[in-house]
Amino acid sequence: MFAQIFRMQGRASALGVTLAAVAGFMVPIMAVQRAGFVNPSGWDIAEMLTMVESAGSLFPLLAIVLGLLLAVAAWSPDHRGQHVYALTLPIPRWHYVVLRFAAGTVLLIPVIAAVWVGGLVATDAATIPEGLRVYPGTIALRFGLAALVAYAAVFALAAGTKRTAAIIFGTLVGIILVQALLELAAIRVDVLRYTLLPLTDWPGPFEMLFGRWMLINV
Amino acid sequence: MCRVLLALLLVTGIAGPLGGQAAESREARLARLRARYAELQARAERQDSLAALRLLVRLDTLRAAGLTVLTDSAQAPVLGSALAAFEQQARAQLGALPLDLLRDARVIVRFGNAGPGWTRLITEDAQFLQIRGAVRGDDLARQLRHSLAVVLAARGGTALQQWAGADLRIFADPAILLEATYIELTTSPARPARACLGGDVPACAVALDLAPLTDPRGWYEPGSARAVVQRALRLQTNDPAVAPRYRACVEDADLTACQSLLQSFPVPRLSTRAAVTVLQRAAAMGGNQAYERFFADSTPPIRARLERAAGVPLDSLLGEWRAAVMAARPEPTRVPRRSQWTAVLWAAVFAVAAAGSTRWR
Repeated sequence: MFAQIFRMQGRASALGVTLAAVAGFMVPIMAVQRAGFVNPSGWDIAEMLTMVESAGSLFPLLAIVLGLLLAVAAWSPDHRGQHVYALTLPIPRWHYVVLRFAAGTVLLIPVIAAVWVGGLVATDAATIPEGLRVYPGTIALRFGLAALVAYAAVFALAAGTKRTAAIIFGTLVGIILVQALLELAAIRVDVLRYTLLPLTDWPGPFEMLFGRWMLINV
Repeated sequence: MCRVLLALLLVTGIAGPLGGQAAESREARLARLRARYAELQARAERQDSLAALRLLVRLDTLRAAGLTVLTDSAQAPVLGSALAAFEQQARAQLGALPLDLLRDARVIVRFGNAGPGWTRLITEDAQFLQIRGAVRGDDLARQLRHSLAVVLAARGGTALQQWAGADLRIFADPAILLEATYIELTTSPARPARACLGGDVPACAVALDLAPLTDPRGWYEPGSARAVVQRALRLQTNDPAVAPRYRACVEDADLTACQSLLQSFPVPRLSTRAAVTVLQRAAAMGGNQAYERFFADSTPPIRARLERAAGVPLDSLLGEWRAAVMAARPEPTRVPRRSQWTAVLWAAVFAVAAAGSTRWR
């Protein structure tokens, strides 16, 4: 059963996964080249590291896009077919969901591997000055975990009802609106700090997506 | 003195109505008295600030680590325990204190809001600490250590302030400063700093501004010079004084143009924070009397004072310092194990939430 579901999801998301893998391979190479670590004419290392950091912000974006793509691809056939196919299967619903989820998780692997290989190629071609280190493995691991969490979050949202999605998005928008209104009223209460920011800091779910993504660092 | 002036004011105020009352109108007398008051007030403000404050509050004088600490009498018991901790920490970190240098050095501690009497106390010779809110002994001791360091820097000579900064962070954690110094050394574009990183100890002296630059090639490699000029001046390409040389430097790789622009830049020495790590290393090598020797005489150059403090030649001191900086290299960046497990757990939570969805019910 898993093989069939994996084949179906793989076909649905093949193009997206391929494009994401190409992007994942190119981002480290672009980061290193743009920062000037390939054939350097001089060392303004603080500036070069700043450019590596700014290019590194593409990694979490790619993780989010990949997670979104795979989650949508996992559920779009069922949404189109009004879940008739799923309902006819002789397995419990939760089992079916787990198989879908696992198939999407496996499809993350090629992109994670592309990021890792791209990082290895990029840092191998670069001239790394004394005192700096390269982190292709760390970046790939972090990318993989970030993509996994992004995929799982969107997967759960897509598996839910429209009402659930509306509640979640409505809550997010409401919090932001409340903060805006408080600021307009010159009331110094940081609602975001107590509601949304804990999601982006450990042990929040989206910690992996934030912070500095440094392929080359001290 | 202030009391004399105020008494004079009173006498003048009383004497005025007794004589010439008929000849002078009330308004004119008031104007004259107001002017006289303003003049005396200005004189009072130029007097000893402590004498002015003593008219308003009762001050207690405490002593710790060579400093004279003044505070209002009601808060003296609160300050006393913090002073004991401060003195113990100062002696533990500095060893024998340069008491001659600290003579007459005052720290004025005010709890709560400072009124005009207190703010007049902020002079070049007095450090002023304003403590608002609840008092924490360790925080107070930290601020007192900072005040002691500032006094030492101020009295240690202009050369010391320029080299190690006016705040002289000798009480900062050496491990933290050394790690920051490692990062600074690694990311510096200056030739002496990169040579120091590579093991050239005499270059470390140049990078720390303890020795003059004698390398005819200058502070920067050609490529680094271009990069530094491009980063610093990229928003000034419309300035006619800069534009031609900028284009020659960045586009045509004309090193002479780059160096002429770099002459107006500050010397790319390592920061005052790095300088403090050298002083801390000299003190660690020189023993209990190291700081006392360093501050004993502020006229010799800094390198001679460091050698006297450490008890070894500068090259030996800088060799030890460089080894300490290399040992302070930050740990490699890793994804913490707890973050890895947390991410996997959250993915499982979302999967369970998806499996329990009511969508098909």
